[in-house]
Amino acid sequence: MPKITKSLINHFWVVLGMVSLAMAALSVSAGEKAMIQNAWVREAPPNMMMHVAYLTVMNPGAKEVHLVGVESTQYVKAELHLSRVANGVATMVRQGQLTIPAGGSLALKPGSFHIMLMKPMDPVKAGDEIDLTLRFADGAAMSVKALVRKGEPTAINMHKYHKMN
Amino acid sequence: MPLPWILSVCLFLQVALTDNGVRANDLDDVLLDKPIDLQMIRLDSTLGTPFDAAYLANKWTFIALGYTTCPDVCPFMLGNLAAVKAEIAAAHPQSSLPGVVFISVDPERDDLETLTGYVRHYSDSFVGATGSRVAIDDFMKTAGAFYRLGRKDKDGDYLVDHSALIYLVDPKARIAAKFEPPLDPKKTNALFQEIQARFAAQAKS
Repeated sequence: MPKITKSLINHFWVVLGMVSLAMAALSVSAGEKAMIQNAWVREAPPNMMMHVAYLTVMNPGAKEVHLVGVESTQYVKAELHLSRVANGVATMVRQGQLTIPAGGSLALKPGSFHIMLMKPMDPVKAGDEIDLTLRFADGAAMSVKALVRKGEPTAINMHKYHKMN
Repeated sequence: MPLPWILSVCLFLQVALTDNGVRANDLDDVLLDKPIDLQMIRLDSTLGTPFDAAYLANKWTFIALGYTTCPDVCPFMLGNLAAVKAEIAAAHPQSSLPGVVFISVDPERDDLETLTGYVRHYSDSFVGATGSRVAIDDFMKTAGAFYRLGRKDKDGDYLVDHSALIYLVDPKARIAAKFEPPLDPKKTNALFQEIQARFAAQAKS
């Protein structure tokens, strides 16, 4: 048997491992490349059935990533929404998908894109952690822990929310 | 091209390009040319008293509109107003503070008990108000505000579009100014002081 063939066979698993890595690097599994930062849930008044979660999705990949759904075992249902304030009127529109551009990010934040969490199973208060599962168009799912806290003091974070859209 | 033209274009471009999108909310932007009379208002407050012109008289009040199942904009506005009120209190510890009233346009889901728990979450001093559909519509029409109930989904839930402006009512129960959120607490305090001063000057004349 030629030496090279023998060598390849001996190092079969190494070769297989390297090929797999190469494939993974080139794969279009864009959802798995996305990263989530700063996931938080605003503490709502007691007995309120509508809560909200915010986070930032980063997409370092070379292709667009599409967030198509969100779930939480701690809520009956969760939906992606966009708040808009146009001509002084606030509206909310359910979003079928959120697009995160290649090499970019998308911030879900007050007055903009956000996750509506409906009907908590148990009371939710500041300090609790909410488990969110984000689903992407390519089938990938990401688990995120969102910290429940009181809304940010607007005096400090005004610069983030100059426009409510 | 003549020089004045060139200079005008340059000035225009400089102004246009340096607009960083921040809402101006300067006095001219918020002050109404003609205050809007709220004598007709007939709602109920979470204090157990009517929310009417008598309630609004002899004090300053910020009014926000919305509904308690609003997850994003309303909580933001009420948190924002709490920060504004805290700033006013810090800057003028000797003065009486403006009130904050949250009017729910969704009485079907927001009764006074629900509203009480809701507004107190943002501040013990906040007051809620709601009433009959007719009374709410009267207020909205008078204030020039808008709302629309959304379609119910299979679970009976619905969204509500609503004006997101914040109204400042003067001691004569008239809307004196309209602010667009987000409100910068320091700037809003400055505007509030100016508006109060103007009101006092007009009262004397």
